[in-house]
Amino acid sequence: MIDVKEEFDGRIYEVTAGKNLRIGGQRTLPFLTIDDEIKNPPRLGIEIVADDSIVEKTENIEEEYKPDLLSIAFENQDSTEEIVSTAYEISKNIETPLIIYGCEDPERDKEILSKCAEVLSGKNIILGYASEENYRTIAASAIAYGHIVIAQTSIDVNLAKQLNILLSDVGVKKNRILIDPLASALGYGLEYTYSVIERIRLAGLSGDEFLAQPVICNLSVCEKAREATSQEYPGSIERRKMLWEAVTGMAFALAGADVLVFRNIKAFKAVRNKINQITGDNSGTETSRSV
Amino acid sequence: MVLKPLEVYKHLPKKNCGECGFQTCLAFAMAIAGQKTEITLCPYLSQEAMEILSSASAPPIKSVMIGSVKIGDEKFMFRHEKKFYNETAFAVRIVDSLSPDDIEKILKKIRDLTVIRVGEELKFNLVCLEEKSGDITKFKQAVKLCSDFDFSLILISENLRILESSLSILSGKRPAIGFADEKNYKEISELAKKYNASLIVRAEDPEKLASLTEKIDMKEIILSFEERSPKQILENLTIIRRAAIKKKIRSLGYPTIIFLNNSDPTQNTLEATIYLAKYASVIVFPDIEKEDALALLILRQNIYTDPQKPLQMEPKIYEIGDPDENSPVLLTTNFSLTYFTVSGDIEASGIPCYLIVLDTEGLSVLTAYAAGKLDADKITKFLKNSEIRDMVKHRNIIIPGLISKISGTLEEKSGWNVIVGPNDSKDLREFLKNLKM
Repeated sequence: MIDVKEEFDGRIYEVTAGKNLRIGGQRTLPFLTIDDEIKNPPRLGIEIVADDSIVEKTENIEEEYKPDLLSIAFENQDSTEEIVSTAYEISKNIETPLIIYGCEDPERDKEILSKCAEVLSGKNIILGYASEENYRTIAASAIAYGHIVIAQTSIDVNLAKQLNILLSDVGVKKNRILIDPLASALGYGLEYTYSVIERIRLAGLSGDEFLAQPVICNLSVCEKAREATSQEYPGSIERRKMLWEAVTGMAFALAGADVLVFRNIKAFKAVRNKINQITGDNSGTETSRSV
Repeated sequence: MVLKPLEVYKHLPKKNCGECGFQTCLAFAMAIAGQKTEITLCPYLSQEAMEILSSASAPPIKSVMIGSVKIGDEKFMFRHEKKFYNETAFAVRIVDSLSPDDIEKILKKIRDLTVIRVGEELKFNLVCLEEKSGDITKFKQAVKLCSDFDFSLILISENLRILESSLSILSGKRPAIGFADEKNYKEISELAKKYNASLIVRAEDPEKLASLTEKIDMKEIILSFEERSPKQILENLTIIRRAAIKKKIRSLGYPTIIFLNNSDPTQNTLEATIYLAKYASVIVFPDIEKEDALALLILRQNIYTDPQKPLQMEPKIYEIGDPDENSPVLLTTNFSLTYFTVSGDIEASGIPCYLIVLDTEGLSVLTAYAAGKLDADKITKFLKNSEIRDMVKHRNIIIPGLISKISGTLEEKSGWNVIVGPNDSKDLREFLKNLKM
């Protein structure tokens, strides 16, 4: 027997979102049952950009694709009142755990996310995201109303650790945080994110409790990659857009991401199919063979 | 395994004779430890010391050539430990029973997948030709065709006579041949040795592979598995890499080859993503679409980039569109991603510009600024000695919004009028359209 099993001292925290969606909890590198059982496979979410029909869209997507998570992204021009009432309307009609992203303005997000946290009290949603500039406010709302915090830093292991320490200092429990290392798209810095996720995961598994949180990657950045969207490259844009999210997401899953958030539904389906195949749930997937 | 200089030194004769080209044995030991010279240069080593030192300094995974493509020779489990050395080679499988016209069509298609990105040529570099026809002439014809297109070759056939007839016309081209298994390994490895080919060895799992390679007296071996699920392939590739690198198991210290066979191209692409990141040396595709090829070639470039050396552009003045003496002059850093984003956005604006790419040692705008590699002095120095002074009549320079703080100092020092551009390159399009100089 070739014994190459690796024993890890640490374990990734298991974070529970919504009623019972368990995220993380691994004591092995991605997909390797040679080291330990796979506690929870990567969880896959679909992100919808808020518009007038968002409530209906969310329900349809929940019913048709049954993603593990539903993520709502708001545009900066929406008013806080609109955002909060929309978030509330959405949450009334769905069972799937929610991720609510603010509008990527740390200052405005303080208000938006605090109010969303309040009206969605007890729903155990994921608040995206806390950064170094606004973590106090967002942490306070998450604790007060029982939600999970995404801690976002810019592609750096030490910054990620530091923000987790700050969040812990203000009272966020270590199993109520997801690390967002900032996803970069295929061809536009993917390798930086990839290696930072691997380093975070290895540190977490070797016992660093401030890097032992599950990692979340939002793949919406792929829509900006020129190769995915420009006429100047070969083949169909539709296919390239799908592949850009699918390949970027799959690579991050291999590095250690526990949650992947997709905008492109075909990419979501393709990655789900492949992940089911390698985590042992073979229902409805094709098997692959050598020649 | 990397030996420390003193560990090497204790095995050396300590004569300081200098015959190895180094003045002292200690200097030689340091060069060996740094993998800068060969242990065989010492004429006075005992047999035992030679064995210890050469096996300790040999790479854990052997380097193997398929034609002109080098694979293997990897030393790490994770790219951030130092780097991955030899890119996963991509091959497309062609069956010899197709008509010569169809084969030529596929070969052209593979050739056309090549893209140039960040100054590198990215391509599918191998063809895996599989014999199904049972016909020596047909297989040979297909081999010739592939060879005319300059692809390095992997040849698969159960018929050793057919393999041999093709090897005889590929002299000096170093193809890989397969498969060697428990039954045929003696004959096929003789064939591989005779024609200087690499040998693909195939077994059920890593253990059986190890016991097979131990029986084959060759260095140029590539490992392959019989029918396996993606989960087992990923685990087997990891077991082999760990065994070779962490456990120094020599019988598994070879590159690996994986054959994809899904009917859905997207599932093949995702599987290729897995094996590219996790340790396959060669991936063979049953077919490949241009969109999928583009994504995977870029993924390969990303994963195999040296983490210590970000891709850099040559620092100089780039002309975008067809600029003249009144065109805007912009400035950015030589980090390749920064350059590509900025130049792409300028291009999209349709306004011809000059783009000054400053040497910031491959750092992006904000990082270069923070590290003191993008400041008023450096820009001034460039502007003073640069031909840009003759290329345009005006003296207006557009700097990235992220370094707006230096605009005052820069105006003072350089004498140029500084215009602060947008923070984000994607806003350049609007910015350039509304620019009034």
